[in-house]
Amino acid sequence: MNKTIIQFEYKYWLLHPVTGLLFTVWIAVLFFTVHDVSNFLNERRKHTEELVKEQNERFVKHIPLMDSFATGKRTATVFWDDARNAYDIGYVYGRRYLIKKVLPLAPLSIGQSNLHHGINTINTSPDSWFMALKKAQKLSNPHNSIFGDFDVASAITLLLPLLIIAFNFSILSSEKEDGRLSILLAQGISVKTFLRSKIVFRYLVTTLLSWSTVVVAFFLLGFNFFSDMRGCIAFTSVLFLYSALWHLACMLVNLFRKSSDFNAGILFTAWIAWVLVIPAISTAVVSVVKPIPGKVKLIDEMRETLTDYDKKNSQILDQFYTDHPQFVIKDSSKMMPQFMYKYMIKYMNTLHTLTPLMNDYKGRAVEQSKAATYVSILSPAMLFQDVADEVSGHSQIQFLLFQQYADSVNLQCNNYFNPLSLANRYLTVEEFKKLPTPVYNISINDRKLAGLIMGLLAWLLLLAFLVTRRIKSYKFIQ
Amino acid sequence: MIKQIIKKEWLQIRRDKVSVILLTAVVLLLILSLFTSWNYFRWYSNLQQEVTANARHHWETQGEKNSHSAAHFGIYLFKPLSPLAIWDNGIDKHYGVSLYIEAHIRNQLQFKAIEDNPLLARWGELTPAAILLVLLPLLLIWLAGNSIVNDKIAGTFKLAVSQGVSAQKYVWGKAAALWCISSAIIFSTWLMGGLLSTLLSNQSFFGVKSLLLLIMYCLYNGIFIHLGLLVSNKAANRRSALVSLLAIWLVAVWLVPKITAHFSEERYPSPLTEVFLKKISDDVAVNGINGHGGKNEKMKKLEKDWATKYGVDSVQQLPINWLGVTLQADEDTNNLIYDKHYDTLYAGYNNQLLVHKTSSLLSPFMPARLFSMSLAGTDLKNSLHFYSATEAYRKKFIGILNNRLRDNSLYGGRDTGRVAFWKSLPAFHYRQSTLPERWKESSTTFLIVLIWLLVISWFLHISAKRTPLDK
Repeated sequence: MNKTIIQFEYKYWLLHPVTGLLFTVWIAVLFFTVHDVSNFLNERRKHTEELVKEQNERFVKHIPLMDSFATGKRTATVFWDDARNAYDIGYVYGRRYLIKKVLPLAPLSIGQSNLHHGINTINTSPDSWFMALKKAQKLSNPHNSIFGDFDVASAITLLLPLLIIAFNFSILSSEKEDGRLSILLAQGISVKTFLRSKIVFRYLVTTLLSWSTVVVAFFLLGFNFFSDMRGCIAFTSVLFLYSALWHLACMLVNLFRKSSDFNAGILFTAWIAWVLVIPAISTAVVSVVKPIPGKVKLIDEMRETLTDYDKKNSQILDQFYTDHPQFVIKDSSKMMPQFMYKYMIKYMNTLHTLTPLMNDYKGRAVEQSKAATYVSILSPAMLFQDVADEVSGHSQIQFLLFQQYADSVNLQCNNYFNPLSLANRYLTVEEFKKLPTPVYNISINDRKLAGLIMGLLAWLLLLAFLVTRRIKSYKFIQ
Repeated sequence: MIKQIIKKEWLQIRRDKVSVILLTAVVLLLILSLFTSWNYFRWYSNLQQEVTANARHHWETQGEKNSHSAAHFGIYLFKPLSPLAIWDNGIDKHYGVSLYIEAHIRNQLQFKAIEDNPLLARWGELTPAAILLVLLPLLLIWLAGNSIVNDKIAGTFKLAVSQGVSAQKYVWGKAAALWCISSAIIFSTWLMGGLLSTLLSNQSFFGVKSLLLLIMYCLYNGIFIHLGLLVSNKAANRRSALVSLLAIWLVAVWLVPKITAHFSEERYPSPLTEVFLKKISDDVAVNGINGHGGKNEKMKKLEKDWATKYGVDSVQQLPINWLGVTLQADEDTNNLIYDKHYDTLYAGYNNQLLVHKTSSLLSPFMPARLFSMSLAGTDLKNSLHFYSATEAYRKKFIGILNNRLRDNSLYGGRDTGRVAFWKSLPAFHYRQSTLPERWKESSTTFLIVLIWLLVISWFLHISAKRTPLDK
């Protein structure tokens, strides 16, 4: 009997022009989103490669110059003019880039990648100290950003349920309204068998089509979907779970024996609740439960610290020059080097004074991000989105961890170069060549992934339980 | 007769459980959105006042230093919230609200609220505007979509017409009932939002701007009422009426805005920040002046001009500090380069916004959203209004510091500013855009909403006139 129902579904549902049209649009949307995110990633990758190439060329060109000073072919009258001086090397020539690698499944979700940087400059410049204060990567029009991103993850989170609802909102009710259900039941087919066969067939077709479209789009655009098996399994699992969940929701609503328009209304309400309302309420809840003062407050605190430091610095210098007038420089040609020393000392101290403040901010941001992950259990859409963000390497917490690492590498860089600069030290060519190139290995949090998948599974089990209960008590005539 | 139709419609809505649940849910969400908006408004207003006062305090108490070092220390400016932001906070959380002004560089607005909240960027938030623009239309199409088709199925429509009520009167009576519900919801939200905003802000929420907002929201929701009734009148059954209306809602308030945003970005791509800044620095290197001792033709001409002006042979002999002159020349020349690049950036944004406005032909959501943000003072134009005020202030501020350096020391000398001088610099006062300015920017969008309403109303009227009684 199952076979007959499936044959019927194949002929009258799958081959129906409307079904074909909707699937065609859906495939086009998925292709478009993969293509679009991969464009964004390629643009970023190209820019990163240009930066790295430019820096490598600068690095290589600097070696013969250093050599010429080391071998005495060139000489400098002041420390700053010697190409080997630690200050210039720390600031310009020894500059490195710390790059957050693009994961194989990155085209799945833009996540937070348009808000945070995936590359940080490692040098002694104060502009590079704290990644959280870096300007956004793209100068996007805010009128566009208020409407959110359009990537594979958001297409599946938001549009796949609508596609499922469109196909299944009247899967049983229309049979009843059109008078076919009574005929079917009279022929000995149980509602359970009928509904299960139909929904399983539709579920497999819709989900496999969605999954295979994403895989093919990846391959066509030069990304290997299977190169990160862990991410691939996680994404595939949540896609199948998420799709199953919406199919079960349609099944459950149909078992209440209401009219098709009522079913559509209820399913649409569930979509709005899970996709719009609950996430928006969660945003407000997380902000209240785990508040972070925000960057505006952070910058205010940083300025407070800087002003205090400036004032103390001025007072100490004043006192010093009053006590030792012989050190007051009157020759303007010597003023610049002295200014540079003062500048360096000031900034070294500032860096160490501000680091705890920044660490506190970053710590709280990580805490808030974790809270956001816990809250996502309230909505299957949020769970799905979180998994997609994580496997694509674009989740908030992955960026925050990258920022923490980048800041620590920059601190090490400053701790290495600044004392050398203050001591008027020169670097040898060998030391220059051995300057480390920092590498950041982005990690996917397995525990988080497992938790999110379990959350989705819990939703699915709950719906499966409700469907089982409802199907047992389903009576055609009441 | 219309009064009786309204009464009957209200009774029908009250009897329908799903309608009552949806109505209650929308009202509860509106209350929640008002609370969260009020909470943010209160938090940010306090923060803005605190950090603005602190920023000025930091400036004034920075200690003794060279006036150019002080120019590098700079000052932070923060955008104040418009009282109507409690209703619609627009792009405020997606665009920076603070600006760091300093010597040599024109910075951008920074520190977006969405960077501090991982959920905000992805899922958005509940604001009264979002609910009235997205969810209330959904409720209204649910109510309207069920309305006429139900009466036709139940035979009530035929009965009413047979008793002498014209089909048009019947349809417009139903529309009037839904207009009453919609307007009551919008007006209550407006009143509550206004009271909360007025309590928190020293500016009044109530005024022509908010009144225009109120009218526009009523007109916008009216479009969905008439659309719902139109589809309901045409539909063969409830299922097709509802599914068609849900599809229309989805396209109008969800797909069109997303696709428009995406298309405008594709058509007029925004630059990467670093690429944009590099273009400026390259341009400055070639066509600008380096106030810290750069040597190019422009600098040579400057030296010659000033030497001639004072009748001396070299700038070292000038009775002023040459560094002050070069730093100001750096500002005067490089500011033009910065302005040119920023104008190009904003021209790109304007082109994108033109795409948004053009998409108004596809959905009434777009003009309504643009009008709402514009009148609330939370759109890009208003942000740029604030930004241009800060830029004018920066030019004046840095100019004062450079002139002080120029006039208070000699070549190679040091000028030390003290607290009294830091205090003497003018504070930044921002005047928000006025109603005529906002209206000038947004009147077209208001007109488009009105046209949408008139066109749909006309279709509804014609459809009602042609309603066959045998169905």
